[in-house]
Amino acid sequence: MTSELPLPTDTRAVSTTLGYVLMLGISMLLITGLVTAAGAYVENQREQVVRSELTVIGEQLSADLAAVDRLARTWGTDREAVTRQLPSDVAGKTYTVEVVNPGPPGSGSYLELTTSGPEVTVTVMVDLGLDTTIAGGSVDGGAVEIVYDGSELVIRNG
Amino acid sequence: MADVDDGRGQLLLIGGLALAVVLVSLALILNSVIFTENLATRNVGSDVEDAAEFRGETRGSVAGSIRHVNDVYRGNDFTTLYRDEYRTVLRNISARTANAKAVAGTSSDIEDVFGHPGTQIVDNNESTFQTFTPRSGSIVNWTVAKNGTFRRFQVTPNKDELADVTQGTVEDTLKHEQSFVFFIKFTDSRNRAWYVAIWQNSSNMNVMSYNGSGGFSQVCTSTATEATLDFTHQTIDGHPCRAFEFTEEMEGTTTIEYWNGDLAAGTYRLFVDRAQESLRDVVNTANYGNQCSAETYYRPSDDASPYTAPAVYSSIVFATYRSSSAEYDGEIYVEPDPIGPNAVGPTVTTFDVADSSGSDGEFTVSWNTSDPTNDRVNVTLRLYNDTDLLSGSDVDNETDLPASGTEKLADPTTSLVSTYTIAVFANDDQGNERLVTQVHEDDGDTDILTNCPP
Repeated sequence: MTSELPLPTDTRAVSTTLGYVLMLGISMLLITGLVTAAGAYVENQREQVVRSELTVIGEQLSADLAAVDRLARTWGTDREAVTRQLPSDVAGKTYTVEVVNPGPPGSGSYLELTTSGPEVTVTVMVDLGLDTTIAGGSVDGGAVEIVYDGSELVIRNG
Repeated sequence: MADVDDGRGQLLLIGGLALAVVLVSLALILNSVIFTENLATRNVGSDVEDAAEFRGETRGSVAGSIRHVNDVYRGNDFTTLYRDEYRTVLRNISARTANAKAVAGTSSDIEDVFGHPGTQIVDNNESTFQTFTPRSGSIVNWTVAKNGTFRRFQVTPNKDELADVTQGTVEDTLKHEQSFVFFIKFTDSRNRAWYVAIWQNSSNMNVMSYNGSGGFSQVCTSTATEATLDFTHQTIDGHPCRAFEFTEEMEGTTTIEYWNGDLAAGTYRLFVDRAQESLRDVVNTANYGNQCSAETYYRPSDDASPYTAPAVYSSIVFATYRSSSAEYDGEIYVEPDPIGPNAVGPTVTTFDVADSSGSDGEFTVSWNTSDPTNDRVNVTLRLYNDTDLLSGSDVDNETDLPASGTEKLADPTTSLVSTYTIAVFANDDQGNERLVTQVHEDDGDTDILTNCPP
């Protein structure tokens, strides 16, 4: 009398393993998705923050330039210097300020503030008097000195 | 112990950590946002404002020093006024300012650079018998100051001594330069004239100006018996008066004349940017034909009015300011209480002519000049063979001379005359010119003490 051995039909171990795999997979997918989305959101926010902070710094520097220019244009200024303590970095990244199109009024001079990673560039117009020349140059964040030397405005690291 | 091999918690832990890092980053970024907002609301330019404020304070203190010296030490010569008195006052101001600034952690210094001589013309005799006429003669239409800039011009007429006329009469008087009302005539270097009439009707003193081409200003009135007309602040008895607005239109140098001076009495005072001796020469020449035949003004020692006295007209100081975040160095030009344009032209401070030998047509001229903005001054001397420039010919000249010196002028012709006019033209780099003339006899100065011309 022979009897056929029954095929194994117990799937309990399989479902346990499958359950693990599925749960791990889905959890990983969810967590990865969450982290990626949150990371992109954070990166996006950071870029916006950098942009707005560079704009604020640029506006302040431009206002300082205009203020020094106003005082210098009135009778009797041989030399004038103002030191502005700007943030050395924005959202953890260093930045540079450059005077683009330097020269006399009408040259279209403006300030260009740049950071790398995130790569952000902000431009701010410079509004000077009718006879003031601004010298070209580039400075890093931190202490910045605006100097009127009797003939032109110069920006340099203080 | 099946729980030991359970790794599900690790994944959640790693995931949780990753999310925590993301959240911390977000918090840091929010921190940057807050800092940006903070930065954006900071007061920009306050350092520059402090420097500007210091400069304004310095200008005010120096102006006060000039006023003080001219008032308190009136009657002294310019060297005493400027070198002794003014510099002492300025040193005190500089030291006091530096002490006050040191309290706030800043430093400052004010140094004298240059002082420009001028003249104050004063009539402080309040007697109603003392009309607005010059020292010599009975002329009523006369030149008070010629080709100069002026400042702090104040006239205080006595209302009861003014002409009592209608406004129509005043308008006609100004239009046709008639003799019914006292008026002051201002002529600028573009030969434009303005007139300021002062008269009374019953209870009021009235002031009105005319621009020489049909335009009359509003009439300003005062009920005071002695109301001060202030040309600097454009007021009558402290109240704003539009009759003085014309002073803003004046260009270059101005000549001031009093017309019908017998129809006003009271006091007046003004400062002119010409050194005393050259002002007296040009005014005497304008009123009496030459510098010595009669005097327009007394001197302070005569104790009579009107008189002239040397004055510090304007000054240049060098101011220095240092704070933790702002620096300022600059020359500051101070001309207190200005009327019309600032002084820019040079003035001849001394002009002496010596005629050491007999009738040989030779004169030795010594001169000295000063420029309010410290520009280089170039002098030209000319010798005319008559009693004034217009009727005489330029027989000798010396050009491109320095700001001060001594030179000999000689008539090279064989037809020598007895009377010569010697002229000093002082020019600065900006093209401003001042002229002073003197008439002299070619007699070897034998009668310098008794006759005019010497």
